[in-house]
Amino acid sequence: MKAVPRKTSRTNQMQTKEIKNDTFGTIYNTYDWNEVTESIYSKTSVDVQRALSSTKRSMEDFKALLSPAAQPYLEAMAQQSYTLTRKRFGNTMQMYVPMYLSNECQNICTYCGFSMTNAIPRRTLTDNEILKEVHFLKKKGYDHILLVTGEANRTVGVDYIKNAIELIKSQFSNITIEVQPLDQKDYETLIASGLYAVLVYQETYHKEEYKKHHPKGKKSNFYYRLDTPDRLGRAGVHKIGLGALFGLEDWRTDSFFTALHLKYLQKTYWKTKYSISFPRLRPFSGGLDPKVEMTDRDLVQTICAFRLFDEDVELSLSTRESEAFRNHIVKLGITSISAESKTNPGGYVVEPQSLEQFEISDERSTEEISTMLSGQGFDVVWKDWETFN
Amino acid sequence: MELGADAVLVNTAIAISQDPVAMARAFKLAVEAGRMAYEAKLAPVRTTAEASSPLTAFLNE
Repeated sequence: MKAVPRKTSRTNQMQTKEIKNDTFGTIYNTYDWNEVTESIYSKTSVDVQRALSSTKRSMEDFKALLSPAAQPYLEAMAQQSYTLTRKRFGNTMQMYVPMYLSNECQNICTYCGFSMTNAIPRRTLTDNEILKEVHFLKKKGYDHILLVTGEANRTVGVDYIKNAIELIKSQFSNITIEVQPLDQKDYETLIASGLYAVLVYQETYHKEEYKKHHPKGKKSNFYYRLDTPDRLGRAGVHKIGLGALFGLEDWRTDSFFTALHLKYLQKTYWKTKYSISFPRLRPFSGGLDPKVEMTDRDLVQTICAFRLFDEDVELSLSTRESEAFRNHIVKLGITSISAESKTNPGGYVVEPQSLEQFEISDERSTEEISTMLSGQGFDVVWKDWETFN
Repeated sequence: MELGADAVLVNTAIAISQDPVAMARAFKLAVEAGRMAYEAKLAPVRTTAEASSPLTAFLNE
């Protein structure tokens, strides 16, 4: 009789080990940040030319396209990025809008306005307030919405998010969340309630720097966050959004790891769609200056490199970027953008004066953005999804 | 020429053309054109056509 439990426990252990090995974290651990950085910076113009003339690009090609050696080839990259994007996505540009539900947060993140130690008034929207904000956004024409919260599991946990999704799902055809990382079963619950996509940015793939920027709270666990897309893939979510917060570390190396993460996920959870975002550090109340500056030129290079690396992945750009920059960059690979965003809970109608997570840069109205896009020959898309129950 | 050959023997292509003298002259001009272009340094090779109004010009504004 004794042998039975022992055997069971060994089997369980093996299974646990197998499951643990079966996440991106294991792959990540086989890479060394400094080696990757050195490898990117040692790429030559020959490597860039090879990458440009290739049709199926490898991780090495992607490194070359991100490298300083690719800077003189930016126009050629932009032309290809434009052509590939039009070939795959036509002239479409998907519109979405963020709605902040809460700024309560138990994390300390050095770069974020909602960080626990920032003495700002905290607010979590009630059902009534959510519906007021929704009413405003529906009048603007939005059908794809992004729900954003901080990380406060007791007040803004799975139940709160589930309630919010169910409250608004009759009014939006596509609901995405950008909230604290959750467990697989929680994601399964939310998907069953009408959740379409989840955005979870690693912020930086530099493990040590990550710890410095997230000294306290659940977010300080690097690997729990890193393996979140695995839990999402297993839960069967429709779309996962990845990204790094550019400015925390070298954007080239962070882009490499983002792409590595993307390739792993596409191969492992092939039924799920993916998107990449390109947030650059923005000023906020009590803010942090970027450690590594990413210029406009650098951001163009990164966006084009991602498009050349993957023809199918959605590329998203928020109102963090300026009006002039967005007017041009929409042609170079981007497939979805937001407009008129507020980054504070209740920012649209309930409490417009409350403190923002970060200052947006492009302050044009939804109508103005839509007109700008049409003027450039885009078909502005408000809805491309319908959930049937 | 770029590989370092000093001369090339061209016979048949000239001999069987309808006007061998004109064809011989064409070869001579081709060699001269090739050399002149080589010394003038080639523009970067592109794998695709490139629009005359660049997409990244706004970065210089």
